[in-house]
Amino acid sequence: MEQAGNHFPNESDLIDGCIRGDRKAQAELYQRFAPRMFGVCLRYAANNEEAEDMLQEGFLKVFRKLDSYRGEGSFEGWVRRIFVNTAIEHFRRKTRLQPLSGTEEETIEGKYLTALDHMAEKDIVQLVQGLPPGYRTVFNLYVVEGYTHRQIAEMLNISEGTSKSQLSRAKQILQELVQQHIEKRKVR
Amino acid sequence: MQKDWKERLHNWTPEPPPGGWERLSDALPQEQQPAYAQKLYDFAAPPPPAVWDEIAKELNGEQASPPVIQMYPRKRWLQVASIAASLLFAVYFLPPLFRSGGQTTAPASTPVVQQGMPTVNVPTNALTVPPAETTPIATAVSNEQPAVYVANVPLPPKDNAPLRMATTERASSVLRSWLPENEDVPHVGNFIDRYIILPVTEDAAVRLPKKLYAAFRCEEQPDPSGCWERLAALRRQMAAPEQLASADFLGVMEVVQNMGSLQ
Repeated sequence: MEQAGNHFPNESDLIDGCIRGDRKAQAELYQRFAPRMFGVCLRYAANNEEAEDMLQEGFLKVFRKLDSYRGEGSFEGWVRRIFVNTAIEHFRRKTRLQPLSGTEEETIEGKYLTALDHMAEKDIVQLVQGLPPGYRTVFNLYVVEGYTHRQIAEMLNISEGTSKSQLSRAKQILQELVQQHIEKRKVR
Repeated sequence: MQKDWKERLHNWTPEPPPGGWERLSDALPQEQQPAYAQKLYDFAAPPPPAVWDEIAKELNGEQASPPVIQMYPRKRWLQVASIAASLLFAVYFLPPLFRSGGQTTAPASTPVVQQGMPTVNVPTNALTVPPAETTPIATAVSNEQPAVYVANVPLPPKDNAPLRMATTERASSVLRSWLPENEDVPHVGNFIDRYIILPVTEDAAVRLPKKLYAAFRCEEQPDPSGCWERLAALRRQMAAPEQLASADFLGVMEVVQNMGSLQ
């Protein structure tokens, strides 16, 4: 990758440069945001390869849609939304969510789920990647991004109930995965 | 004064009581985002370098150079077959192309305009002649009469008189056959000094280089019929597709020499 120095200390200059198609500006924007956005992609993807695809797709969208950024809200927030939407599109292409019967959202964090607080980010992401795509997407949107079930239902074109049941199931599975993780470490 | 204390009250920022947030957060356990959620939100990882290369490649898009297409097939037999096919194409298809390019079909009633000369309307059945390398100003062929070739080659002074005598009559008769009855035949003698008119006994004209012209002054030769035959044979040879590519002076010389009768 070509080395992009700090040629654009001002964010608006950087954005303008990217809109003009200045490759240095684009490289600098990529360098600034790629690590965090790759983190977003890793959370939504099942593996690194899929995350890399999302990262590439997301940045291409960012560069192509930059002229529509009106400066409302933080630029990083705008970029992140594009990446979350990209992840959702990926998910839509692969899966169709079905409502789960007999499960309701649990509001109280389970014993094992709180153990996540003491784990390294990389390990948590690895466990999240172990969730089935639908659960993983709803979990990320609700727990990490902070969207409501209504918003998630609109984004994924599902019912609010389905979003809730998916989240509940995601937490159950995640608890099991955390439990396995802890037990593995005890054995070592 | 009133404004002053209002402003001071508005801008007053006393220190909050210690432990205020802790008490508040305890009161709002349900709304507090789990710590791991924040960790995940802030999670960052360095992407592989290849990703930027791919993005840059995509961004280049239209500017990117087109893919290189291999011009020659890798397999030997395919190369040989390609060359053979090219040669076959050249042998069978190119000569007709040259022929059609080298011949001109006179449109119906093409006016033949010469500098300082009367206009002659060529009949509809006038056919094709090879292009003259001496830039003919008018060429026409009659199916019924001997062909007439007009070229802008001035006659050599020493040959002027006999040639004029030999060709004027024939040229006049050809022109008369072309023209409507009520039109006067232009006086051929007016331009015979400036242009060579060569009648041929066949229904097509033959284009002769200037230097060969004297050899085919058939009227002056002891056996004019043999001369006409040689001219006809020459015309046929020149009209043959394989000779078209060499229709320049040297090519015509070669044709004539191959005939073996030009002495």
